Amino acid sequence: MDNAQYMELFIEESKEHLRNLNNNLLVLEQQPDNAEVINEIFRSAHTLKGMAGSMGFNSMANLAHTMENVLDAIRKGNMVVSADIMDGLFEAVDILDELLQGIVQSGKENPLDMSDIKAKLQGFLDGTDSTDLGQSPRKSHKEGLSLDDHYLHVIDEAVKNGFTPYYIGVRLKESCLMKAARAYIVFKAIESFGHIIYSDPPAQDIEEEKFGLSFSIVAVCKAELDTIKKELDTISEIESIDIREIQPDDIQSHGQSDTQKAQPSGADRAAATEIKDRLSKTAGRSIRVDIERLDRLMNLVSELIIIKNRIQDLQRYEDTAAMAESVEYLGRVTGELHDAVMKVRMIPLQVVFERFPRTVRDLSRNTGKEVKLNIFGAETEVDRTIIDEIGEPLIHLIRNAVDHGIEPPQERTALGKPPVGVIDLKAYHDGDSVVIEVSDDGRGIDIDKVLQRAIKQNLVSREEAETLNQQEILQFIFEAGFSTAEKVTDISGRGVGMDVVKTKIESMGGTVDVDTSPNHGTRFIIRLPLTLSIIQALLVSVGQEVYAIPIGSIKEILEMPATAIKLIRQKEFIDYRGLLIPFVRLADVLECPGEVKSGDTVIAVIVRKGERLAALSVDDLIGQQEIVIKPLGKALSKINIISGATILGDGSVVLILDINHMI
Amino acid sequence: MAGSNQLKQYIAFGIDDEIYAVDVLFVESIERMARITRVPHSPYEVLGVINLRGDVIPVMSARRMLGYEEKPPSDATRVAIVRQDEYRVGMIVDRVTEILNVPQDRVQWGVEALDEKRKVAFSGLINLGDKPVMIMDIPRTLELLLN
Repeated sequence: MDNAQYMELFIEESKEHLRNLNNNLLVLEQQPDNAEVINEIFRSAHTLKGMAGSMGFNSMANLAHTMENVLDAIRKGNMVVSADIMDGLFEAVDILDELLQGIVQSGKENPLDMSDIKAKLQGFLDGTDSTDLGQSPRKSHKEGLSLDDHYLHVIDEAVKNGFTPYYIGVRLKESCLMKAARAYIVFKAIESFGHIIYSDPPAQDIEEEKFGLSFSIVAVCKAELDTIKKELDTISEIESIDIREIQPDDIQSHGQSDTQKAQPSGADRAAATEIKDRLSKTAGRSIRVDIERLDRLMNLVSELIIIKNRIQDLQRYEDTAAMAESVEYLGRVTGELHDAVMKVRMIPLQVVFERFPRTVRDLSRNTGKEVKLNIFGAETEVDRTIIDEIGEPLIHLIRNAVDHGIEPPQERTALGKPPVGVIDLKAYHDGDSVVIEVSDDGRGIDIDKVLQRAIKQNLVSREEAETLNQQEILQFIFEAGFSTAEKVTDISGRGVGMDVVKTKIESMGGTVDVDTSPNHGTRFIIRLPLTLSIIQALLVSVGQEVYAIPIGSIKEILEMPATAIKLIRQKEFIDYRGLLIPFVRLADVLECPGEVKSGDTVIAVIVRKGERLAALSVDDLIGQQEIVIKPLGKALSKINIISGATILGDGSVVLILDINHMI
Repeated sequence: MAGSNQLKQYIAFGIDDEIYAVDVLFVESIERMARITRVPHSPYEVLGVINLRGDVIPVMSARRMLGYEEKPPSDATRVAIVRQDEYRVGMIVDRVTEILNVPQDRVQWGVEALDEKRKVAFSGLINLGDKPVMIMDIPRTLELLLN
């Protein structure tokens, strides 16, 4: 079979199932008795096995199958969830993920040695009398058939009225493509004989194709077993049907046997149901759209904005009231259209954040520290381009916080802190930006040691070091190679690679700041633009040329006498609200040709990059405008003071200054 | 069918009195001269960027690339939009003369750049009798210029 067309679907769905596995395993670790979660995990593993098998990825199918056996044993109470078992399951999920990555990259499974993990999982099984699902799926169903009292009652009533209760287990063929539709036909067929009172998974999940290959139904019918079986046999794409009359002693009632053990506490269950409801609601209202189509839509909106700007320009020549009104209306509509399209591209940070609990769990186990991760604002939405890029720097910050920020429990207790360290991950909107904060309540960064190291590495001279404030010193941790030279775990309380974090965030047009206090912890503040493609900008003229400065990085615009510029060590500064900030002559930085304009007054655009400020001198202010960022192309990608270009209403190209590289 | 007299198409352009050629497969379109926005810190050969139907495209001067003196554009000046991998750049030439259909046995391969001043790689020479036409090696030239 040609699998190419299903490949994409397979990858997407496998990713989703792996994510579910990870999340639910984390819940299981906290609530080992939560039967609902065990079932959920089991189903994910089962579906994954089925999908991988049908795509011919045998290693994946094989491992998922082994996992499934372990989970089944847990589900039936033959095995108790232990830390070892959790580790084994997590490890298996990691390997599945690795296999999937290989498939994404090469279309094939990478040859991984799985004998260890399989032996480990098998080890859990040995000694329990679990059954291998692959070989005897029917048996497991029989044993597993347990119903709520409510259903037992319905069955009792039905039997009194001359109905016979049946258990019907259906297994679809692996080649079956529209499983939900096939299941629907089965449901319909059974309903023609009587009533379906129970199904596993629930009918809604079946409708949404949230099941592997098999499902089971309990129905009460007036027809004979053979009649029903004959009817069901006519349905195609079914591998096997297991139908039998339910005997009263077949059924275990939750009420009698394992209420205590299998049911999560009321509150947990309510919470789980609520989350599920919410998810299924959004799932019901959302559709999957090819990203290229969205990009195309976005490009069209960009074109529309450019032409709108052009018409606004032309208005100067034909300034009638009607024209003005139409132009204003056009402006409003394009604005709203832009917002709407932007929203389509927005994805909640949840998709990035949800893998962090797992990261923190693993890290805290490895380091022997106790760490709790609190996530706030996971519903905050950002552009999908940011989603793709932000994960890596955040993981880095969280890893550093656990590795170097949070102290071991004894040390914390000695300091009078609670033994469990806390990492807060917070996301929120602030005007036109998204802010993500990673903070810990650990030991903080030792400013003095950072400064000593900076001097040692010649990042700053000894004299200059005297004049630096705390913020300026902290900036050194972002210098390339600052901490890589030797192990600094014990020195700065921060690990390697902060320069990578900073570079990555700046490449997205964002900034990163740090804030620390000894023994109280460290906080990293990442600020990102809400959208990467359309921004408000100030157009300025420098010499004969026009440049755009993103409004987001402008703090204030000042006009001041030329005499206010102070010269300190050949560098120009101005006094801005009592703060000396660098005065940057754009004409020089941009190597503008022609005479440099000089006068008694200068116009200074005060720009900020994180906490740092600078004044850019410009010749004139042209005005504020919404601009569409166009890339300069690969040929000029090395020029870092220009972040891109835009096209104005008159068709001319204007370059956008990258403030991050000017300060 | 890889016969030696298979025809290959080249776009020929003139700089002063010389004729150069580019394999037509690299040329996306030929445009009239457009307004150029200078880009600071760009290589000497790059004059800036232009607006090509809504896309911003860097343009370089063939005169500067080939070591000629800069000359103001005329009505005949054209921008050849050249594409190779992720690169899409315009090359400003004095004039586009013709499209050459050249049998492959008329091309002499393996010609190196003639002098240091030229930041251009050549891949061959077409001998059309009256005057040799140098074939620019677009992939190597872009690499030389932009890396």
